[in-house]
Amino acid sequence: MRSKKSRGLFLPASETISRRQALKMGAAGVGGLAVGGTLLAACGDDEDEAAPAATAAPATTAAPAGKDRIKAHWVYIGPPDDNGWTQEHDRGRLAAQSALGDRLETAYTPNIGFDASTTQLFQQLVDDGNDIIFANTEYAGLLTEVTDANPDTKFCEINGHYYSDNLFPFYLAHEKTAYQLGVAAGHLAENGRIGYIGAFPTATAYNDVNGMLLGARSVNPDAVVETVLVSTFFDPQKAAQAANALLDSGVDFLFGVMDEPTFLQLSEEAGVWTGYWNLDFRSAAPTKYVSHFDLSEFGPFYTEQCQRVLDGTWVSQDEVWLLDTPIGDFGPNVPSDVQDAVADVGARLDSGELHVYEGPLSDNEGNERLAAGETLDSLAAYAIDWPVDGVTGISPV
Amino acid sequence: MFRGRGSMTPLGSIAGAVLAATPWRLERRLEVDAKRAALTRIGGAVGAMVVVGILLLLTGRNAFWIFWQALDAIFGRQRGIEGVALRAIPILMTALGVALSLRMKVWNIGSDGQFLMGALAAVGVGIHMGGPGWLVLIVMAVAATLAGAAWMLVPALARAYWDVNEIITTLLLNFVALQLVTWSALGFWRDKEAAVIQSTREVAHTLPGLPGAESVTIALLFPLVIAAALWWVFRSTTIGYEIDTIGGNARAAGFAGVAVRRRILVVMLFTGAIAGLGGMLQLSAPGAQAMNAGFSAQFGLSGFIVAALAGASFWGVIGGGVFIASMFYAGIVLQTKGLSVYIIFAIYGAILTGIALGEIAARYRMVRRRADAGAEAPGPPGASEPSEAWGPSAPAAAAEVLEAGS
Repeated sequence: MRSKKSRGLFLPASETISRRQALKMGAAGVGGLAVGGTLLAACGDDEDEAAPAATAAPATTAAPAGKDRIKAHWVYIGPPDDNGWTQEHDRGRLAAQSALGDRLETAYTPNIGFDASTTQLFQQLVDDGNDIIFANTEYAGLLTEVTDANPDTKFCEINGHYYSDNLFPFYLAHEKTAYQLGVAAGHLAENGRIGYIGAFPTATAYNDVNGMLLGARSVNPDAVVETVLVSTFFDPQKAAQAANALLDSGVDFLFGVMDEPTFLQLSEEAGVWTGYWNLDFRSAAPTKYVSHFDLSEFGPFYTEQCQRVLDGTWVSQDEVWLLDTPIGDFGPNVPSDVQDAVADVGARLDSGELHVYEGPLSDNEGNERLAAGETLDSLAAYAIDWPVDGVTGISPV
Repeated sequence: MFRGRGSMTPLGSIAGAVLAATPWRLERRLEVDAKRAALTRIGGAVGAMVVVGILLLLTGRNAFWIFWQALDAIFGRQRGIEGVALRAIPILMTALGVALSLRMKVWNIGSDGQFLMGALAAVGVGIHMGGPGWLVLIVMAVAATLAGAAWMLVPALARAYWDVNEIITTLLLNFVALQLVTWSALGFWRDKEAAVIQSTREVAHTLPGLPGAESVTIALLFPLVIAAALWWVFRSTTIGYEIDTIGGNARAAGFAGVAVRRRILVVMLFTGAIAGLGGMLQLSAPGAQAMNAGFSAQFGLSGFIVAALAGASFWGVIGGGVFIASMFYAGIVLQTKGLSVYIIFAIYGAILTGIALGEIAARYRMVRRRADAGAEAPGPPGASEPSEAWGPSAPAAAAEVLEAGS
């Protein structure tokens, strides 16, 4: 019902402009914004409506309907210069831009929160004629309201849980990365206590703390992970409070899912080993830096999705598209035997010889979750909703 | 009352100093009629836009293109108009609550919290109650109204009977409300099946749409009806007159036999109720059928600004609320055109400042200085200001205090 295109309420004439006229004006109206902005806006609408008609003809011959040039838009939860999560996505956008050159027009909108105006934003992006829209956090109903109403526009939502013909989620197989970092933490944290600053009790947090704990326990059976959830991914002040609380309580390794590196600096000051989610940020903790989750797969992913839209071969997925998330380069003071142990574990995880989740495993409320010999793969881990025994500060959903 | 240059507000002093070199001086108006008050505010907004435009041009941006995009996005298509309406509903509801309290010179800074608690109560009813949709929606509305009032109960009692500063109490309860919403979204009402991040389950029912609208529901009628009702109460009823009297001078009102404490209590509860109902109405916005910690994009704060700038006039609130909603909606559109969000915030701030300056400007006029200046002071000294359609607002109230002391 809402899928109908916007009508020019104050511009009834726009509805009577034929498509040919519209295209002609569009071609002639390069500099015509000042003169005929309304008409151009009307052209935009008409072209939107014309687009399905144009693709419908080749569809009858069963050939994929490619395009010469597409518009892609990124919607970011944070600013693209956050030194973290959104910056990595923007690097991915620029990678797609440079790979596809003139055939791709990109833009982004930063700092988008979770109120109803986000739905209006997505609708506006559709109205602007974007061919594909990427969201760098889960917007759930605020997004699907628009995706369902606009089946001709493609969407990819990171960490999403909604699947339709024009929307699928993508994410990172980061439980393996967390496991490798946990192995490093098991070696480096003398008292076996690992601190973790999380945002919300979601699969992202469970995979982080579980991977860390299980990796650390493969080295030190007494290791524990102490979690503080701060209900935000980007709030340097809250992150600092959580970091100070954990550091004061005496953790020997501090990690977190924050989009910005405040807690790294505090760890450095406290002389505690630390690591980062998003990118190599050793400059924030020059002597105590361990490693990071390498998110450079965003670029190839975005490039591929845009290429598919250009080729007319874009199809939605019926399961989450998980990107490889290798562990990054090590800090200068991480002993080489620790580096070797992490690399060895990484190879065994990749080969399938070793699993992050392998039974018997119980959650931290004492319920058995995996029987002996049972394992969870990355797809199953994407939906995990419980912390393993040994994690504190976070409960099962 | 005659005021020399020395007895102005700080802004007045600056203006006076500038004017000292000219044969003109500023003079306080005795009465500001509604038309002039509206015109100076509009003038302030337009002036601010001109300043913003010049700054944009100086920094190499095409200001005409930007303003054109904003206007086209709002008025060029039905979606724009509906987008503004959707944005306006929560702002208007919180603003009306604040405006009502301002008639009494009570500052309800907590409309965001009341809005959230109303929405939370509505979600609680909506996801648990069976039965026909219309009945569920009515119960949701009642629950939201009561919840908003309940959230105001403690500040209202404390203000009415123990003179506890309501600015502090209402403000702090905002944070408590936000924590409760976060808890509900992550805990007791969390949407577990869909594994959606940090949100409650969705309410299955929404209000009926307005005829011809794609996404705007009858929620839009509520602030209009409430504004009309409040306007009538203050124009034609004793209660409205009593509230205005309390706003003018609470002690005098008490001597005149007005039950001041009870009036304060009831009016404060009403302001909470209106904001709470606004929370329920917001649940009918597209994509907003579930609650998360970001459910209110500080609508209460926007509503407060609207009410303060409108000077507690209810029709002024409607006009100002729609204007601010248009501004915010245009901001969304401009972001998608590549204008930085920080520039957009700066534009918001400049325009609001322009309106605030217009609000002050309405209270003064320039008169040619005479040789015998002061001999013909207009009006009796110390004439008290009757409450006008555009009553005193934040800056004006401050100005009055300053001037009363000088």
